[in-house]
Parts: sequence; structure tokens; C-alpha cells
Amino acid sequence: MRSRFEAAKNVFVDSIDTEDYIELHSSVAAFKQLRESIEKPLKMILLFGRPGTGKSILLNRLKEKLKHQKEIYYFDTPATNEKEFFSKLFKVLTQKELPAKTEVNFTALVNYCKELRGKRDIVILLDEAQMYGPDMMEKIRLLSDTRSVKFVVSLHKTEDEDLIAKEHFQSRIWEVIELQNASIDDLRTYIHKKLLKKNLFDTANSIKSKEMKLIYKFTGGNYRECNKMMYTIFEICEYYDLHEPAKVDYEKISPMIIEMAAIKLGYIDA
Amino acid sequence: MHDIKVLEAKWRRYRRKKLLPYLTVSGVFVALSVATIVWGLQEKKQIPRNLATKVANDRPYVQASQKDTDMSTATQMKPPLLSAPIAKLQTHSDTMKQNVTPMSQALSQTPVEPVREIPVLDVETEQTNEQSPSLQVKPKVSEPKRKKRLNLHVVSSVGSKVLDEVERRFARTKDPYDALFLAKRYFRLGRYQKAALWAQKSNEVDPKIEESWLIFAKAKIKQGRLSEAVAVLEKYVGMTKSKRARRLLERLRR
Repeated sequence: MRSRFEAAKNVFVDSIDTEDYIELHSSVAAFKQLRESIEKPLKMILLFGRPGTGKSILLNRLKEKLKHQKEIYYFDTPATNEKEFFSKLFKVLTQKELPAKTEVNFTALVNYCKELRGKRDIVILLDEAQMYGPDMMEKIRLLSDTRSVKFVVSLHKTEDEDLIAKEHFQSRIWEVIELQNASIDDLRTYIHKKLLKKNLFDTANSIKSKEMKLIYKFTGGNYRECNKMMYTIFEICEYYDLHEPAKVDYEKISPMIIEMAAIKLGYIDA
Repeated sequence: MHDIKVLEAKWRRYRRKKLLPYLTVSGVFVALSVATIVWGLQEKKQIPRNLATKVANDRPYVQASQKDTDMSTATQMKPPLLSAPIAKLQTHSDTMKQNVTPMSQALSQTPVEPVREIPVLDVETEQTNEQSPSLQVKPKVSEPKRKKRLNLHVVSSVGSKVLDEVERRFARTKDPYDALFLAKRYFRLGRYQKAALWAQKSNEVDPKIEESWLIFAKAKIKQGRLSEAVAVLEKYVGMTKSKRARRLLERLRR
């Protein structure tokens, strides 16, 4: 026997699949700004925000939307070393595999990029760029100076933001787009739309305003935290639905279950 | 979810912790409210109790003056036998009962002397004037009465109606403190014979009241019957070792 809450639980499995992309006011505005920035003659665009604010899914969506209009590439996993990174870059730029046991000559690569200027307009989306070291970032800057390759650098917002504050790097960043946590209205829309996409109308209606405020209080409007929270809530509901139906209300998600989910995820120190 | 029971237990603990400040504040508020109500009720009861005779039977009270409070502050208003000395008296109750005989028996052995006016220290100056032991009658000077401030609005009355009323009440209730009140009132009015009489009546009801002994002795002094006063005081000092009685006796002997 399957619970009605199982489907709702699976809706909130954390992923950056563009099929799960939900259009909200904030995300639509960020997407629009990013798309306009790419059209500008900029060398580097910085996209930053706290983890879970939707940077990766936004880059993914951008790639999906522009893949037929531009030469756009998405580096989702940061390379562990320079050799690996330049191998990938070599393949993107030359559209050929790097021969085995050969390394990319950086100077030659820069010169190659200069030759591409005016012929190709390449956009490279670098996700999790905070994992690239300063030397790597300097080389990325030099490549962007050739004006044949445009980099959209996505990274977590750091406390001291040293990387952005450095003068020689800051001058290369012509556009900065910051993503923030959702407002309560955005979060409510996010949850409802996710459930409605899977035709879970009753479940969407069972989350009332008061419970929504409680969820917002614990997650702070962070999408990743919200996914975890909703998944756990429906996981508990699924258990009660199968074993103790008296404890679950199909009309309304009880605050008790929300608080239990918060305890499980560590939002409440009980 | 295999840890649902653990989760439920944690949730209950969390709710208890969350409600604890509210319960604490509510409890404190309720306790304060109850205490305030109880205190208010006690205050209401306390005032009528102190004015019980006045309120119930329209009995006026004497203004509380310093000398009154010096003489019998605790004993006049309080029911008898409640202060610490009484406890001492109770521990020696057997001997006291044997020893504390009414002053009438002490007086029966003393010869009756003719009445003569002998100057005696006034009650007001007894405690303060240690340097002039001689018994001199001081002229009646209207000294400013030092009033003790009480939370009571009392009405001063020295009329005969008051005394009659209290006499009638004593006949009914045999309250030794009513008799003592009359003794003091008559003493202040200069009616020493009556003062001695009422002091004796108070003593007959309750021989443990020191004031009745002292008033009686002072009334006798005022009447010039020194030997009777000395006999009574000696008897009382012998029984109780009272400092006040001893002091008065020493002054008489000088």
C-alpha cells in the first residue's frame, strides 16, 4: 500500500534538473539580468549568493534556453587541477580531444583564443568557482581578456569576499548578480508550484498560511533547506499515513509534524 | 522512518521547554494575584479586629499616647497571655499559681493606715526621671502628648459614658483588660480609689497582668497608703522579679 504523501515527498528531492525549475519573481528577474549581461560586451560576470539560493539551477536553465542561440558550455563540476581544467577548455575551444599524455600550453591557448576573436562567441558557465584557486582564476581572467571567451563565474558568497575585493580581479568583473533567499511569498509559490506540477492539488492546499510561516521560519527562505524540510515533512506524514493514520490530518499539515521535521534536520535543538 | 518514536519524544521535550517560560510567568502572576488578594483581605480583617469593641458596640477608644504605650502597649490591645513573658510564666505555671496570688491576700496582712497625701512620682516621669528618686508631686503641666502614630483613627473620650460602658461590659465579660483600662483611666482622672479598685478587679481575674499590680501600687501611693503599696510590690517582686516593680519599690523605700 502506498501513501498519498509519497509522491509529495519525491517532488522535493533536491536536484538541479531544469524540469524542476520554478519561475518565481526573483528567479525570473535574475535570469533576465543574466541573459542581458551575456549580450553585453563583458568579459566576466559574477553570480554569487548563499548555498541553496538557486545559482546552479539558474545556470542550467540559462544553458538550456540559450544552447540553440549561442555557443554556451556549463562546467558544473570544478576541476581538481589545472591540467584537468585546461583539458576541458581545450576540448571546448578546439572541439577536439586533447591527445593522451599531452598538456595544454597556456600561452598557446591564449593565442588561440585571440585568433578566435570575432569568429566565435563562446560563453562558459563556471559553477562552484570558489573551489578554483587564485592562480586558476588569474588564468581565467587572462583568457577572458582575449574577448573571445566570456565567463560567468558562480560562487558562494563568502564572509570577507576577498576574492571579489582584489583590485586586479575586480576590474575584470563588469557585472555582479546576487541571488538571495526567497521571501515568504516566493517560498509559498515555490512549494505550491512544485506540488501543482505533479498534480498534487490537495497536498498543496493542506499547507496553510500559519504552517507556511513556520516553514519559512526554519528554512529562512533557502530553496535547498526548503526542499529538505518539505521532503522530511512528507516523509513523516507518509509514515503516519501508513502506521498511525489518526496522527495525520489530510486537510492540514499539523505544526507538530513541521516541528518534528525541524528537529530531525537540526533546526531545533530539542 | 525507523526513528519516529525518538522524534516524537524529542518533540514533546521541545514543547515542554517552549511552554516553560509562559507557565513560569503565568504561575508568578497567579501567585502574586493570590498574595495580593489575601493580603488585602487580611488588612480588612485586621482593622475591624482592633476596633472590634468600637465598631460592634460603639465604644470609643483612648487616643494612643506615648505613656499609654509605655505602660501597656502590648498588653492593652493584645489578648492576654500571648507575649513572651507569659510563656515564661507558663513554664513556671505551677509555682506561679501558688505564688501569684491576688493582691487582696497580700493586702489582708498589712495594717490599714490613715489616708494621707504623700507625694509620689507621676507615671509619666517614672521611666525617665532616674536622678530624682524622691517622691515629689510635680505640678500638673500640660505637657504635649506624644502621640504614637497608628493606622487607626481613634476618638479620644474621657467622658463618663465611656467608663460606664466599659464597666457594664466588664460585668458581662469579665475581661481583665477592660478592668485595667478603667484602672488607668481613673488613675489619670485622679480618682485613685477607683483606680485601685479596678486594678484589683483586673488582678482577681488574671493575676499575671503586671500593669494591674503597678497601677494598684501607684494608686495606693497616691492615696498615701505606702505600706500597702510596698507590701504589694514586695509580693509581686518576690514572685516575678519584675524590674519595673523593683524600680518602683526602690523609689518608695528611698
